[in-house]
Amino acid sequence: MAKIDSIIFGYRVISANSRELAKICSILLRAGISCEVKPDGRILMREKYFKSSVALLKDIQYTSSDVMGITGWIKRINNKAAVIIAIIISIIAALWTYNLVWDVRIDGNSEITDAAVIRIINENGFGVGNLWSKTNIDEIEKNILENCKAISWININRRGTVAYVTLLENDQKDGMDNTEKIKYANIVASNDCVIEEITVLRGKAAVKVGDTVKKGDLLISGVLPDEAGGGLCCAEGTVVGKISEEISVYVDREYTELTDKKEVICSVDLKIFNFCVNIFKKHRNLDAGCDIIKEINIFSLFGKRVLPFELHIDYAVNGNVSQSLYSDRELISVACDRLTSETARKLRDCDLISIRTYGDYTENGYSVSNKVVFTSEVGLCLPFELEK
Amino acid sequence: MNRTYKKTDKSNGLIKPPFYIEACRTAAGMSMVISGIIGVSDYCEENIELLSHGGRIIIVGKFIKLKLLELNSVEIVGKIIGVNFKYGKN
Repeated sequence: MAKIDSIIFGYRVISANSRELAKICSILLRAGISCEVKPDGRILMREKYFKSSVALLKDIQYTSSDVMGITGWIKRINNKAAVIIAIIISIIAALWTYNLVWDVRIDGNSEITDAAVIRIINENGFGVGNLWSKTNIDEIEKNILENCKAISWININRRGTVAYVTLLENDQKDGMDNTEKIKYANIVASNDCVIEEITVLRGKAAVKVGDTVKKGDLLISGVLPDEAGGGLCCAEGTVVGKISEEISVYVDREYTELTDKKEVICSVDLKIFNFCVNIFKKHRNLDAGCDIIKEINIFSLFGKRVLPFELHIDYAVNGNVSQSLYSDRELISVACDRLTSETARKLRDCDLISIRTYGDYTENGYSVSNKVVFTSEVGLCLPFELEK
Repeated sequence: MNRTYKKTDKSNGLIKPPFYIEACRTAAGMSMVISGIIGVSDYCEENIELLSHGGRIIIVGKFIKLKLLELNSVEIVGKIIGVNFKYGKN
C-alpha cells in the first residue's frame, strides 16, 4: 500500500519485467530517488521524483500509470468548480451543525429521573436544538438552581455537540450534614442476619464474616483499640448481611367502589411560554376522597414541532360509593400485584438470593406471602455520649 | 524501522564503507536498512542481490519488499531467512 504522503501528493506506478527491474533500482539508487519496490515488480514513486526519473530511465523499457492518489483524482475531475462548491457547502454545513446541541446526557441523579431533569432544563431555556453560540450556560445553571429546590448543584459541560449535565440532588447534601454532627457512634445491626461482608473504615470490628447477629447487636465499635491510639470515634464502615424475611399481603374480598362516575371540570389553565393564564376555576369544597384527574393537552404543528402553549384541565370525579366483592381471579390478581410492589419496594437496594411465593384463601379474603433471602447493608449508626 | 538518511544528518559521517547494516524486528518479520549500496543486481520476492564497493550482499527470504532510500541506502522488509556476503570489486 502506498504511504500517506504519496496518496496526498500523488504517486505513479512503474511496471517493468524482472530483468529491467534490477537495472531501474540501481539507477534510482545512484540518483538518490526514494521509491518502494513491490514483490510483483511494480515501483511506487512520488510524482515529484517521477519527472526527474523519466530522463534517467530513457533507455529502459517500462510502463508508467497516470498520477494516482488525491492529486491525481483532482486532476482527472472534469467539473472542478462543482467539486469545490460541494466541498465548501459541506464545510459550512459541518460548521453550522457543530453549533447545535444534538444530545443532552444526565449524570449524578438518583431520585430525580432523567426525563424530569430534561424537563427542568427545557423550562430554563436549554435543550436539544439550541445554538451553543447563543446559550449562556452560567445563567442557565443559576436559573435552574433558583427555580428547582431539589437540585443543590448543577454543571453543564460541552463536549463537541453533546451537553453533559452533572448534578447533585438536595437529599445527598442533607445526609452529609447529619453525619458531620455526630461525635461518637457505634454501628449496630438493623436486622437479624448472617454477616457476609464487613469493611471497617473507622473503629473496631466486633463481628466477623459468618457470624449470626440479632437486631441491635454491635457490629463496629466506636471505641478504638489501644494499638490504634485508644479513645472514642464515630464508627464508620460497611456491613453486608444475609437476611431472611417474609413479606405478606392480605386482601379482603369486600371492597368499596366508585360507581356512576361523573367528571366535573374544576379549572382550566392555558400556558404560553411558561406564562400561566387561568381561564376557568370552580371554587367549591371538593369531597374528601374524590379522584382528581389532570389532563395536559400539548399542541404541535403537523405532528412534528411542538408549539409553545399547553392547555391544563383539572377534573374532579364524583360518584356513588358502593360495596363490591372481588371474584376469585380478581382477588388473586390484586393480592399478587400488591405483593410484587411491596417486595420491589423492600428489595430496592438489596441483592436477591432466593424467593419463594405461596398464597392461600382465608375466610374473608386471600393472603399471599414471599419468603425472601437477600443481602443488604445492615449497619445502623447509633450515636452515644460520654457520661459526665 | 523506516529511517530516511538526509544530507544534513550528521551521523552520516559515521557510516563507513563498504556497507552498514541496521535491523530490527517488525510485524511483517524484519526490517533491515543497509547503507553503502551502489546497485541492485537481482530482485524478486524471495531473493535480493545488492552491490556495494566491497562485494555483494544476498538476502534470501519470503515476501520481501525493497525500498530505495536516499544516500545509497535501501530498506528490506519481510521474512528474511538468510544474509550472505560475497567479497570482491564491483
